[in-house]
Amino acid sequence: MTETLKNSVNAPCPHWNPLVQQQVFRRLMNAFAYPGSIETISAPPGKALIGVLACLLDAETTLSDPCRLVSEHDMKLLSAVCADPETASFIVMPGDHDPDFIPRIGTLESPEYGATIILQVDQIGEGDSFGLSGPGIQGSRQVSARGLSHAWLMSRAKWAQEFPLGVDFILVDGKSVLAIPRTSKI
Amino acid sequence: MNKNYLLPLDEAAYNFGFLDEYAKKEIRRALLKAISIPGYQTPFASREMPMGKGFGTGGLQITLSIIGVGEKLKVIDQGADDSVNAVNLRQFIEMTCPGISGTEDTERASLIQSRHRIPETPLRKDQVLVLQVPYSDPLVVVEPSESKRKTMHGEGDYSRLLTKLYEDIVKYDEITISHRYPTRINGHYVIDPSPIPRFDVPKMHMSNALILFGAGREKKVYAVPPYTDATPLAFDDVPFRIEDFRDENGKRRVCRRCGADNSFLEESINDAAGLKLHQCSDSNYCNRRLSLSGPARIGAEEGGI
Ligand SMILES: [Zn+2]
Repeated sequence: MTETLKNSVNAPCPHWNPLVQQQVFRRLMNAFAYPGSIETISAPPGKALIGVLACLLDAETTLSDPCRLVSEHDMKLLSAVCADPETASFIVMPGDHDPDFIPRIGTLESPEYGATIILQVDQIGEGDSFGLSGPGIQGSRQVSARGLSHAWLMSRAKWAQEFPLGVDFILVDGKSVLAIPRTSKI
Repeated sequence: MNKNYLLPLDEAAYNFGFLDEYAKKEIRRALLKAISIPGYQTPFASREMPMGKGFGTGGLQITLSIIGVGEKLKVIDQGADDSVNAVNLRQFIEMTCPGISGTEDTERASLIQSRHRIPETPLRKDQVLVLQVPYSDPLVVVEPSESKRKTMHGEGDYSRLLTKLYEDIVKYDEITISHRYPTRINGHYVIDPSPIPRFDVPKMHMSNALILFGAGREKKVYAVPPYTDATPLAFDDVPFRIEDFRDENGKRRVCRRCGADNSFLEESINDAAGLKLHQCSDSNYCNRRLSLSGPARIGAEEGGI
């Protein structure tokens, strides 16, 4: 084991352990492969958001957290570059806070520059449901999340109307994630 | 491939999965975008691996970025688990990923890395297939400039590729592409599905399992998500066709070992008699069929194993 790996194994929070990050990533990858499926991740209660960020982000990435959902301590450990929501590749927002910015949606040549928007909600699998269809979904799938403002879905439809341009959503509550990539139709 | 892998002898000196965590995170970010944009060749910073490019380093880097403790890994090369390349890759992964186990059994595997074949046994939702890609861009044959190709891909403009395909048909009377058949994913991007035979192309359509593609030399990853439309390019008057395994009498050839009449067959010539022999290219599929129909299996069941 390298020093970094050893240190992170000894760190108090499991999501800084690379072996835990791998497990979280596999659940996240499954969430993207099967949009709308609820994937439970092995994080301490309430720590799913930081678990998701920790398996993806490093100093090479830009992160916008305008409502300060991530603690200063965790921000330091993530070491992502802070950015405005208009320019960041990753954006963290409360699901009940209406979008008040226009994120990157990528270009025809480089659609991967479209932002990943991570929405912290109260509870995935509760509240008003909506139907999802598209790649990764057999037929359609009913999805619900308490604490998700309808405005996000309205804005997303605008941002993702010209494939391959668009943004990709990750909904996260205390212990699970659900992904809505740009290909999903609501 | 270098059998010694140039790895430090001291096991404590390298990371789980060989790659450093920054490399893994970068590939993971690329993979999520690749899944979100089906068929799009997503760039990543391919690392130097202790084996030459062309030995599956793109697929290997995907595998190492997603593999975890408890994983059951299968590695195949042209359908075989026991070929030198497959064995070397699997040993390298087993050595650098303590806690995973290798398997030859398609049904037992949670992660399958493959070159040139998609297994015959249908994949499930809890499995991931990683395909090694030597050339990632199907537009290379009609457009040398990468930036122009990126625009054509983005616009979903494949008119020149279709023209080229049609010219081939006029010249040779059929679509002559035996491997790497250009396939349109989710109605937009056309991919090079790696050198799988035409026989395997329909397996990508509405697959239960996520399929990931890694090109080390070209530094690209792309994906065919599960339950996604994958349509081989074709024309109304020249439909897509898989390989023809019928004999002179129009009868479907069968595997000489297991008798399968639904598998992709490899042809070899028996030198002595000059006869053509046919055998499943997927060795695990063939072995399983043999063990299920053979006496060994019956004995095992009677013994309660
Ligand atoms: Zn056979």
